[in-house]
Amino acid sequence: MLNVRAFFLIACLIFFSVIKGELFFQGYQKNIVNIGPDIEEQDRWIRVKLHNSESGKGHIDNQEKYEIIFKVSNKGSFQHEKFKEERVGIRALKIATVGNARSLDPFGQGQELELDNNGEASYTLDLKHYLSPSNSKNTSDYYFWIGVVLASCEELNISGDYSIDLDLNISNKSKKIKKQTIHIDASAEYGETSFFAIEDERTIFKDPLKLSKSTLGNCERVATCLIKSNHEKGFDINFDFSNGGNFKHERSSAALIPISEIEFVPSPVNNGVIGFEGYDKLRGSFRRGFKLKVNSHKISRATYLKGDPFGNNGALFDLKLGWDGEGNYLAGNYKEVLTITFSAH
Amino acid sequence: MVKIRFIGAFLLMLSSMVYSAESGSPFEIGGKIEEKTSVSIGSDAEFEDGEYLDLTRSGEDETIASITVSSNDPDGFSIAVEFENDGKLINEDNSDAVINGTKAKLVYNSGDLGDVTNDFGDGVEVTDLSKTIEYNTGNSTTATSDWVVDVKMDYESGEEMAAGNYKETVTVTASAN
Repeated sequence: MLNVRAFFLIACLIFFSVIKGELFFQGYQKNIVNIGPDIEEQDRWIRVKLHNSESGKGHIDNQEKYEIIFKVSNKGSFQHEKFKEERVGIRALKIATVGNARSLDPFGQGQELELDNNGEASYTLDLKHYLSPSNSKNTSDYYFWIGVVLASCEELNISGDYSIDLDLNISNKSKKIKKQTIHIDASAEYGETSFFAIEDERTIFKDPLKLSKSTLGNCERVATCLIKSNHEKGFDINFDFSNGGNFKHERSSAALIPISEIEFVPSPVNNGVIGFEGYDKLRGSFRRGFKLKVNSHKISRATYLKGDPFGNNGALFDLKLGWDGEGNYLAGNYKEVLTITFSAH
Repeated sequence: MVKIRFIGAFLLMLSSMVYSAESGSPFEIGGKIEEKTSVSIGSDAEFEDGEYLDLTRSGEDETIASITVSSNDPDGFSIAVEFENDGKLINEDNSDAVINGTKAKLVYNSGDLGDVTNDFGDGVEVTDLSKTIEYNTGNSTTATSDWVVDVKMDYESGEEMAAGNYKETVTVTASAN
């Protein structure tokens, strides 16, 4: 009989040790926020729950203070699920506390927590301060609203799915609580914008080329193109030369100065973000015409000019050509007709 | 004496063009190749240089000058050769003593004449030396490079003429059109 009692006692100890719980945060429902330039602030809040699973107590002591350390992944940036370089920075978090799940509207009550360069912020949570007098002293769950304050919505970001991981470390004098990570998905709607312009073309009148000088191996700029696009499926730029890549004499159609080399390279005055690759394939020998095809797999992020994404500015590229000007060419004006067309997919 | 006159002035007419910088709109790129025409004359019978013709016999195809032309002028160029005394070599002490020139011509020597409207063919020849020997290329679609033509002359024998120096003045003019 004694053995039976001893066994029962031991079993109870084991049972209580197994079900002993802890305080933890957890995301409440689906952690989805909306981001983008025209998204209302209330769409950037998620609700998280501070839950006490400690057996035998069942309540969180609302007289306690908790230190919470927030850490946002990617140094505080939402990262696009597909285009990894495409990020939306978070300048600060907001925290708003309420007594329970059904109580107060949190908006307007949030306290802003500035993120440091590592995407971290700390906050002292005083439950007493936030509790409604009508609430009981102890409750098992507290609900918090955490909002994100974007660093800038002015960049020409790409629409789609973004996410962050939000680490929450909570502790107080009496409890050490393990880190909780809440994955927050974000849906961004920026709309699709593409803009293309030939900024500075060298025409035969405005800035004629020095055709008598050879530019082989050191191509000469003939036009500067401006590209701005956040089309995630990409775009095409087509270069068409009417005379098949020959400067043709205005009077004698037989007198030609052939174009031998072509380059489409970032302009040295560029201050833009170039979010696609493949333009360097235009370097090389001349063909009848060129099409720069930028498909989605070549895109890493939107293409735009830093600092002025909603203006007409974008990344700048120089179209450069090379020809042999050392020949004994007939005197006169030579010209080629170039048509550049841009089309977003 | 050989007088060289070269007129290099020319005019390139520019047609008006309209261009656009918009995406999809064609624009014209290009530039100008400057006109370069050069002419040099080399005399093979310049009296003052001691390059004498042998007047003790009749002369045939005697080279009296060479003209070298390089030109990329699309309007081409022209060459003219004139004899001041209608091809007569006149004694410097007695103007009645004359050795007549009987024929003069321009003939190809070397180099490349551009693709010109008026073919040079076998050259240009005159038997009446009071007339100017003229050649005009007309329009050219390719450049002329180091093209050399010789000025040649036939004259009668001066074997029985009075002793002394006999001279004629030839003026060669080459100019871009």
